[in-house]
Amino acid sequence: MILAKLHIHGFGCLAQQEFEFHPGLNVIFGPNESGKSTLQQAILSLLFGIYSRSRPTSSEKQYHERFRPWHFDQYGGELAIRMDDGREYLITRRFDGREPQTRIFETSTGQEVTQNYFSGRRGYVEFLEALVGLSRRVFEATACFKQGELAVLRDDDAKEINDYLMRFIDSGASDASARLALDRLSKAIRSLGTDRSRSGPIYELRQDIQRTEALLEERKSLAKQLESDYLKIQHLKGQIESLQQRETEIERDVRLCDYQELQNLIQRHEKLAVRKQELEQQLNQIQRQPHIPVTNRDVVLKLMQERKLLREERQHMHEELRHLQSELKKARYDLDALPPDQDFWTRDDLNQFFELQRRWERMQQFVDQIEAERKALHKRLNEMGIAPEIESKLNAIGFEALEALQDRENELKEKQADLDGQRQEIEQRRRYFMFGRIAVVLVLFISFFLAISSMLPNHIISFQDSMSDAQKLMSFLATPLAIMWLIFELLFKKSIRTWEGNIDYEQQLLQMEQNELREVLSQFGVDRAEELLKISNRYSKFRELNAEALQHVQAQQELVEAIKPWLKTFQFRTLSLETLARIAEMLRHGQQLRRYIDELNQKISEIEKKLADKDQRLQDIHERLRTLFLAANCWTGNLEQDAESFFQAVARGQKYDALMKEWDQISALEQEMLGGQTIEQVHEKVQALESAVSERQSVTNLPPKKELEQLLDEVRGQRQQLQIELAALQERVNERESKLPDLSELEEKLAIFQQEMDELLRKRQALQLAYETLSEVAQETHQSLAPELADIIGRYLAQLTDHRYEQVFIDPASFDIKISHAVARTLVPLYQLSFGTQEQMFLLLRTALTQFFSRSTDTIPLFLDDPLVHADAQRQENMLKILLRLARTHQLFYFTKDQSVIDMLAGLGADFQLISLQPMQTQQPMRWAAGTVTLPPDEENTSRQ
Amino acid sequence: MKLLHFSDLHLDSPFASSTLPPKIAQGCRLRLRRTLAKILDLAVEYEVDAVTIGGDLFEGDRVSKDTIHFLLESFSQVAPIPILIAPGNHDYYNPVSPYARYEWPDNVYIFTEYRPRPVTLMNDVLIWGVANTLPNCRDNPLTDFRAHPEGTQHVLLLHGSEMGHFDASRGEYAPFHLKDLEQAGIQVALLGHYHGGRVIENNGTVAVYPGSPQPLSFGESGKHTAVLLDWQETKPNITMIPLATQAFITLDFKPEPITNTHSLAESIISTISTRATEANFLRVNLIGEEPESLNLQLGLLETHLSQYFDYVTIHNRMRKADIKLAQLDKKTVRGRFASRLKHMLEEEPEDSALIEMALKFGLAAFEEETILNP
Repeated sequence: MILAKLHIHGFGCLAQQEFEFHPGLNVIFGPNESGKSTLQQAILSLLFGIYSRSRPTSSEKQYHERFRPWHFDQYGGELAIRMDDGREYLITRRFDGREPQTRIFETSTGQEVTQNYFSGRRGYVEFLEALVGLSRRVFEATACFKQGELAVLRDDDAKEINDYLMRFIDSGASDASARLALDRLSKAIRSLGTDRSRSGPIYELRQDIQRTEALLEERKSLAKQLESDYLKIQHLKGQIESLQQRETEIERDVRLCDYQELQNLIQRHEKLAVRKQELEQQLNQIQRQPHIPVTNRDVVLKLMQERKLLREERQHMHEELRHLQSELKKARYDLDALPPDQDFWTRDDLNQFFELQRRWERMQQFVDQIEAERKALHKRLNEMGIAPEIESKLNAIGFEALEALQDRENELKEKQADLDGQRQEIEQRRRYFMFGRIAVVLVLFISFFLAISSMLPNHIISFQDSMSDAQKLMSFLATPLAIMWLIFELLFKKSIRTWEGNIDYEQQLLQMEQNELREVLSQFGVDRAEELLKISNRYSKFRELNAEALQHVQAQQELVEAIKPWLKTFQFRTLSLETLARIAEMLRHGQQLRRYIDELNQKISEIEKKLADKDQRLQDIHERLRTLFLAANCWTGNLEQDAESFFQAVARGQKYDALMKEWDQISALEQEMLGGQTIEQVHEKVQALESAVSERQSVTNLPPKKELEQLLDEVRGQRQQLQIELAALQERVNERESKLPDLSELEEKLAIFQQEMDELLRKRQALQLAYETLSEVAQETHQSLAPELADIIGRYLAQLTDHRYEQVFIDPASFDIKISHAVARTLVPLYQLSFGTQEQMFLLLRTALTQFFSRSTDTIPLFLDDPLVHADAQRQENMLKILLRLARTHQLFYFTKDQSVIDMLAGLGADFQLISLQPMQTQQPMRWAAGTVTLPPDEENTSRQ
Repeated sequence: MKLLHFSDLHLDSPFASSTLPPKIAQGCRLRLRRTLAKILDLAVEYEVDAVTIGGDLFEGDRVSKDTIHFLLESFSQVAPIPILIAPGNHDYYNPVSPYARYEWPDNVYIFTEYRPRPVTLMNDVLIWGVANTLPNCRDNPLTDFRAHPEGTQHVLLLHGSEMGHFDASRGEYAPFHLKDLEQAGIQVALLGHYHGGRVIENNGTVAVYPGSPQPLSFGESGKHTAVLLDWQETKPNITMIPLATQAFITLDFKPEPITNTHSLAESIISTISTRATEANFLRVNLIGEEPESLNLQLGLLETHLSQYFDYVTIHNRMRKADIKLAQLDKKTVRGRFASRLKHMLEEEPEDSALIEMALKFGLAAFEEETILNP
């Protein structure tokens, strides 16, 4: 598509101007404020209109007003365009008023075709969008080069081109790419945090929610505890109430008890009053008697009792006296019945008889014992077969000789033992000698063996070598050893023989002595001296017994003499143990009687003495009583009667006293009962209580007041306890209530947190959805668009690079551009190309993008607003050359204020349209003729022309 | 005889559902207390014979000691005017309820059974009160009930759901029908439970829902009153006295082509014709197509509106301008991205909010360094 002609009625500072454009390069030259930009905007406004399809925006309105002609009425213009397929259109737009108008005519037919396209508000007609598929925005982004844009590229920044390309593919603009957008989305997602993050707003909110929920839970638990406490409080209050009721009942019962007590009190008081009357009467009846101290009465009573007691005792004593006297008489009689006379029993030596008796008995025993021993000895000797004549021999030999014989016998036994021992010794030495002999023989044998071993074969000789030392030793020792042994043996045998000889000699001597001894002993009929000694001892004993018996006979005689008087006294003739026993018995009996008589006499005298005392005491009592009775006017001489009278008098006085005492007691009791109050007051109290207990007057089985008071105390105590419990519970409840957090506040906080969390989660979800969708779409788009774009670029590449490069490959993932060298047939990355080629590629890229975004195959004119303003001269020239090449296929509009650009183009011999704009002046188009530089002809240029 | 009836004051109520910040919510709760004081002042001013409370006087599970003491003091100050309370499903009666635990003033009578029990107010007027004893009483408390004696004016005091004239989605609490009142011989029913005030008449029976004295959340519509009943003969004159001094305003706003946040805010403000005297809480849902020219600054908008309202919450439900999307070239990744999400919108309309947001973020990612507003 090319722009053919432009007629501006009025647009900004431009008015009534007409331009005819070159199909290739058009240079619009003019200083600042000459209307270059206005011209560009005019073209764009005529192409696309001012307003877009949607509701007019304020920026559009501002734009509309901004280019309203300064000094002219008409606001609009006409633009003729020609498509690549030859169709021509004329676009007329009027921007006057609020509603601009647009009309489009097909030039070839002259028909208006506006209605064939969508028309919107304020003159919007979707004409060019439909024709080439480009919106104004995309057109401006791709086909319009801003000031200095072509100088953006740096020497080493080929990547920038790739990125630029990707940004355009991704967003249709040069500022944002999908990658950048994804990074931003990812960053936004990360900033929110994930479910596992431990920082970030989501994590913090989650913490807040958890904390608040924990507080809610805590509050719930506390509320539950409080509810339980409330129930307990209610329960306690109920219990306290029932206890209070009980207390009231008990108090009522207590009052009833009081009432009853007071009633009882009144009754008792009345009884006491009656009794007092009775006492008064009685007291009046009793005549006042002389006052007899009670002590006198007690004395009289005591005396009378004592008198009575004495008399009784006296009587007992008399009876006892009589009894004692009777006993005395009897005892005397019994004593007289015994053989000795009375005087005998007064003797001091009566006990001597008992001594005599004991002596006689001992003696008799002893004699009997001796006799028995003698008989036993005699019998034993007879049993032993000892002839009686042996005794005389024994008497002749004497005891010492017998002992000597025994000693001798013992000596001989010792000697024999000694000789036997020596013989045993000899035998033992013989045995030792035998062992020694065997050892010596053995040594000699070994020596012999070793001596002859040298004559044995060689293999044994080697064994011998190892034993040579032993052999030598043995050989050395054998001979002296043998000699020494022989000497020893000779000596030993000799000594043994000598010894044995001595022993034999000794044995003979011993034998002789033993024979002598045996002869001596045989005289006595014994074999051993020991036996002889025993027999001698027995005989000695026998003799001793005889001698002793003899001595006792004498003593016995003396004793008999001593006993005889006694026999006579007791009239016995014979002396025997029985007699003596009989005498002893009578003697004891007599002594007993004697003592008894003495005791009786003593008792009798004692009793008589006591009787005398008692009589004296009775006399005293009599006197005393007389005195007392006289004082009481009761004396008649008859003590019993007098005492009776005395007591009666005393009784009367006592009665009077008792009555008086009772009277006093009753009065005191009255006062005590009333307790300081009068009976009238008591009556008043009873009346007051009557109304309170009227309901329960019928109750008769009340427990005692003390019990009730105790119960009341118990109930009060229980109630107080419960009240204390209640108070403590109440305090606990108060404390818990004070700690109870505000539920509504917590719930509100939680709701806000939840809402914020939902919001964040929603945002995160949306970000994730955006990320995933964008990522997917980017991948798909890149995959699909990269070849398409490469194809478009490829169409112009060969021409632009003079066929040095022919094909373009674009990596869908990274949008890296590689071009294939025509000759080398290699793919060269963009960064490896020369800077100039990179510039060409950039320009081509922009152009291709325009093509890419349009829906038609028509080339799109490019607008360059001083793109090389910051470039140096060389760069400018290079770029101008590229532009000139591009101008072969695309219509270019180059806006500049730089004269050097024009000069350069002229210098290059370029074919271009120069449009000079002067500020506020009408411009005439100029054509620059072809110069010295001839551009190679090409078909496109030719067709255009 | 004159009665002043109110219900559903909900002292110590939470405002979590409206996501009011705690401090503002606390202010609302204090406002409820002032409302009670105002009601009691009205009772004194109109020299009523009794004040009846149709339940939900407070939130039983969270009412504070301070609030209870406030009630005790407030009620005692209007003595000897009797105050009859029929506990509702939020302040239901049980042994641990504040109704049971505290010593209420002598002029306060609290019904305690889930069946009509009578209190004689004047010679020929009986108030039959029913107490909710559970948080969810589902049986009809008027089953087999007949008010007696005949010839007396019978007034029912009940916190329950009238089934027939209201939205059933609120749930049935102590449900009953109007005909039950008629059959029971009740001439006037002083009710509570529904927060929108309303008077229903049917065959001579009048049922009065005063509504909650203050609105308690966004979405509560209807009247918020206390009701004055003045018996002249057999039928009372009913006057609904508005009490609400706070308002929960929900506004679905579709912005016109606006270029700046200030204009948007002013446009919103001018749309709201009525406001409450003490506090206004605003919820704005921005709907429709996002103006192309508008660079929406939500934070700025909220701040601006906060100068006129006590609480503002804004939900941006605007969708991206189609034309803006159309301007995106379909050949670009951006254009295709927008097309794909648009297609997704058509296929999954239930996820439209999420997809719109994704579209917004995706497009923003191409233009802005920071996508998420701080």
